[in-house]
Amino acid sequence: MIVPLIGAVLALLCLGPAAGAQVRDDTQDLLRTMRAELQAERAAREVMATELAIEREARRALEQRVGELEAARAGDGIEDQLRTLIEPGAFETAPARTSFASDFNPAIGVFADSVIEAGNASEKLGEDGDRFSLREIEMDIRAPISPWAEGVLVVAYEDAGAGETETRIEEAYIDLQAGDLLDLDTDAQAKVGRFRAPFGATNRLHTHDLIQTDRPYAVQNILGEEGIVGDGIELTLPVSHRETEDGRGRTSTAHIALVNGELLAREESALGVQADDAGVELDSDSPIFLARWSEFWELDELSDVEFGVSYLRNVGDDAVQTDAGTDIEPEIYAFDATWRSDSDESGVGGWVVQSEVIHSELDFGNTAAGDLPTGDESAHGHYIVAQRQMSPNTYAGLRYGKSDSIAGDAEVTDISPFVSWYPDEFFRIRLQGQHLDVDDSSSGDESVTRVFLQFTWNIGAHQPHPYWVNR
Amino acid sequence: MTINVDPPAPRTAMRIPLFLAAGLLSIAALVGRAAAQDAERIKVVATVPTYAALARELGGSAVDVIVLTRPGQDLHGVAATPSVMARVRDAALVLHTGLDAENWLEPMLRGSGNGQLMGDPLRFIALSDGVPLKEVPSQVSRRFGDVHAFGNTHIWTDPFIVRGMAKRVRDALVAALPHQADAIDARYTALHDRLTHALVRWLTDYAELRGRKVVTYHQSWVYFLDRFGLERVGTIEPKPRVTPTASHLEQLMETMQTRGATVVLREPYQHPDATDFVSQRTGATVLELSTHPGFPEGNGVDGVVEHFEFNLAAIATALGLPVSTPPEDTAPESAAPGDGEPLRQAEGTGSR
Repeated sequence: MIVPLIGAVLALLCLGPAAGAQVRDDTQDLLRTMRAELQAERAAREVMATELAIEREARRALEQRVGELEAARAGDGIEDQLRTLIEPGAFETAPARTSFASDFNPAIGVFADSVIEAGNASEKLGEDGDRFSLREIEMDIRAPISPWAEGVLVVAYEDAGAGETETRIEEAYIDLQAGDLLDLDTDAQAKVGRFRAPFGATNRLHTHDLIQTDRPYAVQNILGEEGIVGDGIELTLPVSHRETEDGRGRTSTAHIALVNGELLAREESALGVQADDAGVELDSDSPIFLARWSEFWELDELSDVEFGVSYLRNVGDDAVQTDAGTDIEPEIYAFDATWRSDSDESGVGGWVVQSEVIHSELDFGNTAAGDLPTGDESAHGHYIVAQRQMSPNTYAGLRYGKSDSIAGDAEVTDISPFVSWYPDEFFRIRLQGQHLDVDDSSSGDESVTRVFLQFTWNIGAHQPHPYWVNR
Repeated sequence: MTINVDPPAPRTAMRIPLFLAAGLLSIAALVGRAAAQDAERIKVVATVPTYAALARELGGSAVDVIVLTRPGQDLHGVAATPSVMARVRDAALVLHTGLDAENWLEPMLRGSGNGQLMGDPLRFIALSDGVPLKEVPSQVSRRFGDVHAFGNTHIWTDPFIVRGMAKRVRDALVAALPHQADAIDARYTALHDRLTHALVRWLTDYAELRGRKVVTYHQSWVYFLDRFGLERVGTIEPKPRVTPTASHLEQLMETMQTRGATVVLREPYQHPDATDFVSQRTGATVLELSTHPGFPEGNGVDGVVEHFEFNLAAIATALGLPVSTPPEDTAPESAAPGDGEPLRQAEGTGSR
C-alpha cells in the first residue's frame, strides 16, 4: 500500500502535472479495488460468524437438553442407587493410552519356515533331498505412510540349495487409495513397486501361507517354483457388489497390472529355469500385461465360492528376449475356483476345496536359441486340493495335480496327502507325503516318493497381515 | 554373430494397456461408489454384535448397520472376503473395540478402499477409549499364550461398560446425523434408563451370584464375572487360545471339585469336546452362551438389555438360584432359560 503511494508522489514530482494526474487516477482505481475487496471479505466473515454462532447455539441447546434429561433421570434416584452398587472407580474414565514416537515405527512380523525332507528325490531327480532346510525367513514390514498410502516391504532369506543362501526383496510396494488421493469418486486402489502378480488362486500367497508345503506343480512348472513376482503397477477395481434377497453377497473384482518382462525372464521363473537348463540367458525390454477377474459369491452364512480368470501376455515383442537375440512371446491363461465351508462356528468339519487350471502358449520364433525349442510350445497344468478341518487345530487334505513343463518335455503327476497341526496361533507343524511320476521323453520316466516335515512359526505382533489364510 | 529374427518391439504398444488402465479407472469411478448415501441415512459398521445392537437401538431407521461377526463367532477368525470389503466400502462410521482386539480391521478397511476413515476419530470410534482395562499384563510375551498387549479386550461383557459405550455411540451418531440429534437423544435416554434400571435390579436380585465359582473356556468373561462377583477358578484353555491338554484338564477338574465350581461357560465357537469331557467327569453344567446379543437366535435377545437378562438368568438357573423377573414393560419377548436345555447355535449377519 505504501509503496504505490510513494511511487505516485515521486511520479507527480518528477513527471509533472500531466503524468501526475494519470498516476493519481491509477492510484484511485487501486484504492477503490482494494476497498471493495476488503468489504467483500468483511461480509464473508460476518456470514461465517453468524453461521458459527448458530452452530454454537444449537450445540449449547443440545448439551442443555442432554443435561436436562440426565438431571431428570437422576431425579428418580436410580443413578444414586447404582452408585451404591458399583465400585466408585468404575465411574472414572481411564486415562488415554500414552503414545510414543516409536508408535510411528512400522509393524514387523517375521515368518520362519523350516522343512525336513526325506525320500528319493535326490537320487531320481538330482534335487537336494534328505536334508534339513531353513527354507525361508520372511520379514514383513508395513506402515501407513500417508492418509492415502501404506508402504509394504517383504524381505526373504531363502535356501538356494547346495549350501547357498540368498536374500531378496520379495515385495516392496506402496498401496495407494487412488480415489482418495486423486479426489475421484472411485474405490480403485493401486500398487506401485514390486509385488506378487495378480494371477491365479495361489500366486498371491507367500510360501508360509500355502495350504501345502510346496506350491502345486501346475504353478511351479508354468509360472515358477515360488510363483511370479513383478515390478510395475497394479490397479484393483471393485466392479460391482450386490446382495441377493437372502442377503448373500455377489462381488466382482478386476485386477490389471503392467509389469516388467523380468516377471518371466528372471532366473526364478519357470521359463528362466528352462532357459538356464538350455544354456540361454533371458532378458527383457518391454512389459507384460496381466489381468484377473474374480467373482466371489456367498452361498450361505458359513460358505462361499470364488471363481477367477487370469490372463498374461507380452506387450512388446521383446518382453522376453534370449541372449541369442531371439524373442519369446508368452501368453498364459488360468481359471481357478475355491470353495470354503465351515460346518459349525468353530469350523470343525469345514472344507476348503480349490482347483486351478493353467495353460501357456509360448512362441519361440523360428530360430533356435541354445537348446530352447523353436516355434510354438504349449504347456498345460491343473490341480485340485481338498482340506478338511478334523479338530479345532488339525487339518488334513490331499492334492492331486498334473503339469507339463513350460518349455520342456517333462510331465509331472503329483499326489500329496498332508496333515497340518496348529498348536497355537503362531506355530504350525505339517507332515506331507508326496508321490511324483515324472514322464520325461528326453531322460526317461522316474517315480519319486518323499516326505516333508515342515515347521512354520511367527515372531511379532498380529499386525502385518492375516495369519494362516487357509485355516 | 547375433541374428535378430523377430522385429523390434513397437514402443507404442505400451500405450494400449495404459489406455486400458485409464479406461477401467474411469469405469471404476462410475461404478465404484454405486449408491450415493442418503444424507439422512448412514451406514454404520460394527465389529461385534454388541456395538451393532447399540447402533440399531440408538440410530433407529437412520442407520444401516453392518455387523462383521456373528454372535457366536470367534473375533479372531474374521476373513476379509470381497463381499465383506464391498459392504464396508461406503461406511460412514465404524464402531470397534480398538486396542489390539480386531487386528483384521485395518487391512479390511484398507483393502476396501475406505482406509482413510481410520484417520478420522469422529468416524472411527474405538469404544475401549476411557474404559479401565483388566488383566493388563506386566510383561507381554507369547509364553503366556495369545495375550493382548493392552489388557483383556472383552469389555462388552460388562453391562455397566456397555452403558458408557452407549454414550459414545450416541455422540458419534449425533455428529454424523446432526439433524436427527433429538431423536437419537431420545433413544439414548430410553436405553440409558433401561440399562440403569436393569443394572440396579440385576446387582440386587443376583447378589447371591457373588462368590459363586465358575470355569470359563477362554478369558472372555472377566468383566462380566467381576461385575456380578462371580469367581473364575480356572479356564479350559491353559493359556489364551492354547488347546487344552489332558493334564491341564485333570488339574482343572481337581480345582473345580476342591473349590466347588459347578458351571462351565462355553461360547458357541469353542469346540465342545473339552467342556463335555469336564462335564462328564465332574457333573458340571456346561452353558453355551455368547458374550454378544443375538444368541440364541429367535429368543428375543437381540437388544443389549435382553442379552444380559438372558445370560444372567441362564447362569442363575445353572447355579440353582432364583431368576430375576424384569418389569412388564422391559421384559424380553421370550422366557429366560430355566431348564438347562442346550442352547441352539445362532445365525447372524457376520462374516467368515
